[in-house]
Amino acid sequence: MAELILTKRMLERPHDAHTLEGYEASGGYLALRQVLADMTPEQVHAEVKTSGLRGRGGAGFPAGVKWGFVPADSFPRYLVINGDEGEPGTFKDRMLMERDPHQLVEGVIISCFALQAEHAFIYCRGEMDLAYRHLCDAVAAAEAAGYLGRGILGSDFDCRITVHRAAGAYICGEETALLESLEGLRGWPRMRPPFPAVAGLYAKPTVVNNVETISNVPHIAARGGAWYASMGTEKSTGTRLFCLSGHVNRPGNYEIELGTTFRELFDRWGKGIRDGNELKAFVPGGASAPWFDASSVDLPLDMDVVQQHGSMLGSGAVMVMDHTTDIVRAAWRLVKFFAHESCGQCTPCREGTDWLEEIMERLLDGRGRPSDIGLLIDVSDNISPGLTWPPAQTTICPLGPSATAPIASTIRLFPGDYERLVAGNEDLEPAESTGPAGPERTVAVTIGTKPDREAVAHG
Amino acid sequence: MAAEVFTGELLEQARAKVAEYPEPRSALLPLLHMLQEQAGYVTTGGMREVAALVGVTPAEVYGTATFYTMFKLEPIGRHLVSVCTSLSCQILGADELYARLRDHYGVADRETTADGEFTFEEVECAAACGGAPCLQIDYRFFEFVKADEVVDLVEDVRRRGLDAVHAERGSVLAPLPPLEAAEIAAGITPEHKWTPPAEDDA
Repeated sequence: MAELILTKRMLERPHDAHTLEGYEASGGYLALRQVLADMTPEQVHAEVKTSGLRGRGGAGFPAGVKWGFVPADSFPRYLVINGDEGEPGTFKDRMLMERDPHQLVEGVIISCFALQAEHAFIYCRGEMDLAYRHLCDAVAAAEAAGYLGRGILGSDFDCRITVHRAAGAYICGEETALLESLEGLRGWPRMRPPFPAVAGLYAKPTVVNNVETISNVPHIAARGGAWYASMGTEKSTGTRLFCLSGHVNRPGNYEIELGTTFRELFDRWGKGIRDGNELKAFVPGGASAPWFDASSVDLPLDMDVVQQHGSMLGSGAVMVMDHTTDIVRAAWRLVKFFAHESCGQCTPCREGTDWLEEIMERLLDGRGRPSDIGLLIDVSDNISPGLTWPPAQTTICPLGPSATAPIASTIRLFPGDYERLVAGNEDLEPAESTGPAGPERTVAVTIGTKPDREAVAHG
Repeated sequence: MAAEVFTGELLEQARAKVAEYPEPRSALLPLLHMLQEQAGYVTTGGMREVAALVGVTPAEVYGTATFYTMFKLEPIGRHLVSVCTSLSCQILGADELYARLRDHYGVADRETTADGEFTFEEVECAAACGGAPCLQIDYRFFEFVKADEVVDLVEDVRRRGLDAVHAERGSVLAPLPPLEAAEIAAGITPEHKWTPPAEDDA
């Protein structure tokens, strides 16, 4: 049952997979023809539900369930594709948009049919110039060929797609910030409820799905949800693109059936750690995911199992660090990222991420105080009380709480790396501590799990 | 005040873009991109024109424009060199790479060379981690860039132009999954799946 779904065409026809000719010559738009000829919107929706397809943007929420939140009889409704890929370590959606844009476009049209939406938007990251141009070309070619527009392929289904070029703001990958941005505003996440499915773009029912998620839809529509669900594990069905980067010999995007282990990803696909080095740490699912050390390498690439072990597969970004890595510096880089990308709405995030970055810089400059390690935990705890997993949230969106993941997990896994930086720096402690650090106020680092926490969908 | 940026064909394009959206203000970002392509940066006058085209106030356009890193509020060099220093690039030498550029050209982050040719900026993850360390020149990708070669790469763009250099030394399309032919032929999905240990074994 070994097979590729999303990357098959681009591997077989690397030179023209992105064109209409190449797409049609390899079975493209047959799924759409089949859907419009033989299926009702409800049947397509049912197949997507059966497939178990889960969101590939980070939250892993089942796509079919998300679609079901759209209230009946409320029109117009919109489908918005999140192509604002910017999570450090993630580079799969760019590949899908550049190399197989029609696969996404066909997925959008079929999904619109299922949702009874007549207008979709593809929100493409602004810096991805080529992806944007390929998407625009694909939409224009699909229009010219009658796959988009009025009365598609002789049916009474109308659909159009607007490709929207973003302009550089990581937070716009958060689905409500994306909608604000699409309305011409600053990318400030919205309070929920209402959820976008009820009141999204222009306060109309809106479904926001990731590029990879919707690229699977033509295959599910053509071959059935049961076929898709037969791959992967029970609750992580199908294949998934893993973005492997860092200290491996062969980094890249790998389409792998869910359930494979990290060890196999690193060794078989990544061809091992560079220079025969030892694995020190890895980030299992993007910048927001707590880190693992080498002892977790036999965990499977299964969303629920990784979640139970205190982290997540998130956006599929796996970043590998060998034993030569300066762990504190690496963690600082992600904290700096979150501080830079904080939208500034919520105080815990705006102030907290900035302070975390400054304290980390002080440690790396050799000016760290012994109390700084406790201070880092304390500030993190103020952003995300209890430092649990999934993180508790004091903010409108999860960006702030995510910034605590690299710090809390590396302090827990590699306390020596931090302690070394402050050893002998007792004289740098302020004479009279005015800060909250101090043994009695230091929060224990426990990264537990809260399985009863309600799963919240954010694209 | 007469329009200076959105006239003639560009005005038609802008109006067509506005018409693509159910509500005009959604065209705000696309129009700012048009403005920046035309004028080199988002000018105050241009933002006033955008405001009129999408039906919001100039202050609202300014408020939105300043949120997004791609929009430059001041003139920049002929080429924009964006160096990714995010985690995957950092652990493979991006900081040194960027330091080489700054040292060679004597500029700080987000500064332009005296001849107006290059502006350098450090950016967050550019979505090319599989080719780390990476950079973009005018949003075209260059991957696996070596610190020893980065100045030569930039100078090559000055000498031969971006198109020629990118075609030869850049990533024209996102790299394919780096699989060997035998792996593809064999079907790359690993045959054995992980299964949870049985209760008895635990």
